[in-house]
Amino acid sequence: MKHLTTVISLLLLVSLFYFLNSYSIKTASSTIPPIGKFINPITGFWKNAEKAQLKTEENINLKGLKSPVSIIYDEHMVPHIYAQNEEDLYLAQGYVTARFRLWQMEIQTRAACGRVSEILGPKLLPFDRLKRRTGMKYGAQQTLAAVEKDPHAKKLLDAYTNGINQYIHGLDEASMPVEYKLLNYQPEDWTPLKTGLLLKAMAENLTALEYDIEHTNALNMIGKENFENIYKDWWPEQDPIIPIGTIYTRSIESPLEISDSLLSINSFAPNKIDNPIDREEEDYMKGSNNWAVAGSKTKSGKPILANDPHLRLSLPSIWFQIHLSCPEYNVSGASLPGAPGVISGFNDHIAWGVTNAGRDIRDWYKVTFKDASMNEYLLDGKYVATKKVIEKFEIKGMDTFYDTIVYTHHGPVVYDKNYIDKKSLNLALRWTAHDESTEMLTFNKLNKAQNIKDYFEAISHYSCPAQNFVFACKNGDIAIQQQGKFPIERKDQAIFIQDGSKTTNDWQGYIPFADNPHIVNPSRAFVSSANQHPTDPTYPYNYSGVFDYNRNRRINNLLSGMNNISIVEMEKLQLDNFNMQASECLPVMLSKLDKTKLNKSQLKVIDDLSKWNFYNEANMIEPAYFEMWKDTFKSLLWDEFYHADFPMRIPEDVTMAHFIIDEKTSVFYDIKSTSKVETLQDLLLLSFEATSNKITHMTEKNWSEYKHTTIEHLAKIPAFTIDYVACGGNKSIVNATSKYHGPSWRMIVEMTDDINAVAIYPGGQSGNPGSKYYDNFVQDWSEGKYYQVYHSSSIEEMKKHASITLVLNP
Amino acid sequence: MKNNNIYTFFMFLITILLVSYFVPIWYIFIPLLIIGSIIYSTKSTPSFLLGFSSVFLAWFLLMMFMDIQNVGLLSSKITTLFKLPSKWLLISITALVGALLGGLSTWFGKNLKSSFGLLKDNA
Repeated sequence: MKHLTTVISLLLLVSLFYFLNSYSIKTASSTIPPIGKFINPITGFWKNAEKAQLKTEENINLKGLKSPVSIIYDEHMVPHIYAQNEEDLYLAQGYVTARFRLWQMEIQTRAACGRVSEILGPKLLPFDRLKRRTGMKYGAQQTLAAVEKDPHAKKLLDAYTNGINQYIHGLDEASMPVEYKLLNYQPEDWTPLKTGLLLKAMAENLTALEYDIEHTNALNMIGKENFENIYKDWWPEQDPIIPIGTIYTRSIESPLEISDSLLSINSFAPNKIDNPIDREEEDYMKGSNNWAVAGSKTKSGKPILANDPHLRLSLPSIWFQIHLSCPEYNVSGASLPGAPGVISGFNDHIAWGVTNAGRDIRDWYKVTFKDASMNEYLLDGKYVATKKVIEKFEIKGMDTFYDTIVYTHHGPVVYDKNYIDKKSLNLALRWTAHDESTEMLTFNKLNKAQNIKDYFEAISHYSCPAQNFVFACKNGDIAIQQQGKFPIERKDQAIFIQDGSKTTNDWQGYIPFADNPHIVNPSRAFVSSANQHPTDPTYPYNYSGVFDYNRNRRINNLLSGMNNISIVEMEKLQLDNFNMQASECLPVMLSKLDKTKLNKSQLKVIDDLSKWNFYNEANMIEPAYFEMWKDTFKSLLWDEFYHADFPMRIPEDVTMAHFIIDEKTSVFYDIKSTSKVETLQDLLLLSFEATSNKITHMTEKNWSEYKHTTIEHLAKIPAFTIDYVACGGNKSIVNATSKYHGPSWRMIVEMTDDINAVAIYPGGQSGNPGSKYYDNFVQDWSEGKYYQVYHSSSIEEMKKHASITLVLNP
Repeated sequence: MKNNNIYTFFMFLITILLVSYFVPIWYIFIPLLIIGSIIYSTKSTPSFLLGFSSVFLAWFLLMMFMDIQNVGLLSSKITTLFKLPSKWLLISITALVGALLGGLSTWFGKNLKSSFGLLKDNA
């Protein structure tokens, strides 16, 4: 009996322990980690509850350092790193960044190379397969190979990697970031390849804007003439980055670049095809603003540069603010956790910033295989061999999965019989992100650039994702260049799926660096970009892409009229909520609306809208009325696209604006599902009635609530997400804050002798949800506040702004 | 509880607090309590209650201490994460989880001692 009780008590103890330490509870929507392991106060999440009062002095030994490195944290927890040589600087940057953002760095690169099902299970296998099939890892390997050819760059990247890994190796179960505990896995070592992957993730984020598949589907559905009317290259009100009237030269010829061949494509176009890309159609406009004004327009007589990249808002934030100082240079600004150096910032001589070019640099080729083995494909009448790569997917809670990816000279075949494409269209992806490239060199060189010559040299190393690099220098120079590796191609090549069996459909080289759109010290005394067309149609190369028409015109209108500018005016411009589109469309919508059939409450809405000043301010209700009406109208106008059986691209809002303002006869006004043939007036009335109905039931009290700006945790964990950030703006407005996207980093730099700079981003320096520095900038960001950027190259000077010091010793 | 049980309780409590501070293994108290229970158990020892109450209080104190230093920032987020009505429930459940393991550990320790016929009357 005694023994029985002993055995029973042991069994109870062991099974309870096993349950608490090793058993994950699976629910429909999530997996709860082993409960005891996660909630205990010794190694569980409680250990991530960071002390509100941090230690003020710390000493840490790091292997590989040549000399001691001092790090000073200012009141916003921005690290100011002082090293005695560049390698130590990068090692310290790696260490410090990992300390704040390790989990983010890892999950982003895991996602980029298609390895999230390892930790999140089979649900994410299709996502992982798409990443591998689009060649993300392949592209990262190519990039890394190119960067490592430069011995100096290799040394720096290795130092950065070393810093991250020393942080990882110092972790124990208790000090592990909370997301590892929640998702129950361990970090793995950082590698230079992961830095490459991070840059590829940015490339994908910013250049997967082509619609070749959707365009081909649309061409099949509506025919050539309609297609050209609604997917226009250029509307005449556009105000390009390089002012209209600039004379361009073309330094190389390409004999194969013949004129449009839409018709031949039409007869070739394959069956409509499906694809799994989640476009977030209503909110796809990732954009950015940047500009630089010359000293002749400023109060101080020195240039001012501004940059605000609009990206998906997330916690931890995509940016990590940092200040890097060594005897050679002293640079401050926003860094990407996982990539060395500063991406958007300034040093003691120059400032620079980036916006996305939005040009199409991805093309799809239909591959004709000899047979089902996919070992050979047709090219100019002969069969050539493919290369196959077997990709291994380890999946949590499931057997390992293998996927064979076929490579052609175009690139990887993304869609074939084994993936999505049941009709065996076999679409290969040609993408500049697959090519050898050296973007890392660009940022390293910009970080130490001293003048415009250095700036051009630095960006000449840059290929993908193409960006508009704005520049300002203490000596008074301002400039902007759209820089990237752009293929030379026929117009239709960029827009539709191509026949991959003819080399005449291949890219015919690349636009030379000198021919990329650029302008230096223009007579209008400012340069700017906001994702619009880089040039007017006289530019001697074909290009296509996704371009904005509203922010740029607003910015240029305002900048043209401004003089005696100081930082405050530039802040106001970044925060400008003027809705250009509403100002152009709404008066027409109101005048063309048949008001005789409206009731009293509907007339009240009309009255409110006619009194509105077109600003999307947070506390107003009219922007919500307008956006609701516009969206409903849009869904009726483009009903054939919204209800198509295949992926379609909804025509851009600029096209809709033209369908409202310059009313014409067009099949698109008709609603397919009704027997009546509708007109513009019918659509306006129908959409207004539907909108006023919604308005009577709406519970949101103002635009901010209706828009519902959300800063989501990267793993979409609601408890770590900030819901309802009170702010105005919208996409296509200078303050481009929509539901999930917005100004992810606002920076303004005045190039006075002692540079004056302000910046803020919607997040916090720490990636730890248990830290008060996790989201402490969000409130100030939403209120349009800025923080001073401290950038002194003197430690003693910096200590005035700081209370926390960390010394890294060799 | 008798005086020597109270003494054992405090000894367990302080040991768990100290070890928890220095050793990042969350279940380290299990072997400690088993050994402790083998050493200190007598026939009148409330074997389960002793482990249960010492771990409950130790964990409760640890959590309170960390939560105050963190001004409740993370506990409120985890409370939301698990859809619990209050952070006190989160803290109580956590303490209970440790306490159950603690209770089973001391119970097992005493049973083991008794299996070998080593359990003595109170001295």
